[in-house]
Amino acid sequence: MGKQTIIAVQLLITATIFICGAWLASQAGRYTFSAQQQTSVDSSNVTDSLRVTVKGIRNANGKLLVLAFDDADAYATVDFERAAGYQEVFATPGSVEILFPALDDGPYAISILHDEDGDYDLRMEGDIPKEGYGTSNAKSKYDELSFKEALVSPGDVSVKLFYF
Amino acid sequence: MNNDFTVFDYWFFTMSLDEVYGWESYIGDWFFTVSIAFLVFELVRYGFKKQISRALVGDTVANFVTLAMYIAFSYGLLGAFYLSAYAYFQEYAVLDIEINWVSISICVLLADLAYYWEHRFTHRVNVAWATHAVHHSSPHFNISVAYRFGPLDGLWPVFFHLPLVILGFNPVVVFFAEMFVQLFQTMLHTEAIRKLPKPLEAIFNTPSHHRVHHGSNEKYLDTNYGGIFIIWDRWFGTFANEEERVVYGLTEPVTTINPLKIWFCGFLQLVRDQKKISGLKNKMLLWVSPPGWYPSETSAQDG
Repeated sequence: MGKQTIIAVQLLITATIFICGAWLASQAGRYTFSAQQQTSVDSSNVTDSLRVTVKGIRNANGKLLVLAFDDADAYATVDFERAAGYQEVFATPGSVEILFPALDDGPYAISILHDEDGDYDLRMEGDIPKEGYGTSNAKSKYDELSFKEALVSPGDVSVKLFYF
Repeated sequence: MNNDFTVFDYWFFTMSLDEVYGWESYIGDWFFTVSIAFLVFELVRYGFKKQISRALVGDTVANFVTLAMYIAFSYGLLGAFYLSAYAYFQEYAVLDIEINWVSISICVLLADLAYYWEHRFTHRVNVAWATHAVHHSSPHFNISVAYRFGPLDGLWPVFFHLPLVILGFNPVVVFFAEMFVQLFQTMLHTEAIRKLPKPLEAIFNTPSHHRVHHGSNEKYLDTNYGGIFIIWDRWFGTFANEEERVVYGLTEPVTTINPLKIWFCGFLQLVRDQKKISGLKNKMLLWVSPPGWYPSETSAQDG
């Protein structure tokens, strides 16, 4: 092989290493840790998994904590550790879509907290919640739905956030 | 909410740009502090070996003067080019790469490979050699030589590291990676550390490998271009093992300790070489040819 051919091959190897390395880096953190910003939702081939559209987000403070439960007791106690699906996304005003590709045989009850102050808890002032919250199937801010009432099937689900 | 994170999890925590920049400053400051302390140790060692001379001390001081000039020029002028190039190409980022210690580590590895090519380029293309020759021009070899820089040393890295920005690494992360590859190499510029254990010598760039790189011995020329890792040289056929005693400096020695003369010695040599060549085409070819190249028709002295 001529000298120039050798260098060309070496550069090709280099380019391959660059591309593989960059791809590996792009995978780091994306699926291994739950508190990640969801940058894009590819829904072209996941028509029967849970896809939650959160509506009515009032500001960009803190995160939305979105929990999907398949267990009545876990839903009632809002037990993060026993949720079937759990995602945190940084809050953006308006709506945001959250995909749960693993949740495809429901039904599920969905609880959402707009955790503006980052304490992973719904801040109350007496009886009045001071942060946004939402439940699947809830029609008004005073609805307190049981597990059965909140159940929704996988697919597109819309949950409205309520604020006092 | 489970807040018990393991060490494994921390590798994937997203970092802010400020954090990355903070780490770069912290690591940089520490490397500099340790280098100065090590320099003192080296001078004491030379003292005991009765190898201290005016020339050595003068050269050491000159190294730091070239560093000052290089910083002023790089941060002043080249910095604008560097920043705008990175900012411009960030728009075209192909992948979406989070900033965490895993992705930063991968970027450092890739930046080391990019540096291998940048370094090989600055040795084999005259227009770049003109600035890099300054670093190689010292007849001595101690940690102050690590800070001996040429005028355009800050220019060439941009072209070789831009692919990382285009691939999707955040420019601040690429900057961190570039700096780390450079900082690691400061510790290689010494005669005081002989060969390290074989596994280290096999994978990493070491003082021994870097002495060979700085040698003007025939068999040491154009070898060991690596930054942190020596594996690229091993794989790409540019490796040489330290066997005979290294002769430091350029094949045509530079003995001045005048910082300005040192800083421009590479360009001055290139201009001198150009005068010996006739014909505009050949004069232009000289700038992109390897050091030592002469057009075949010219009856110049042997390279």
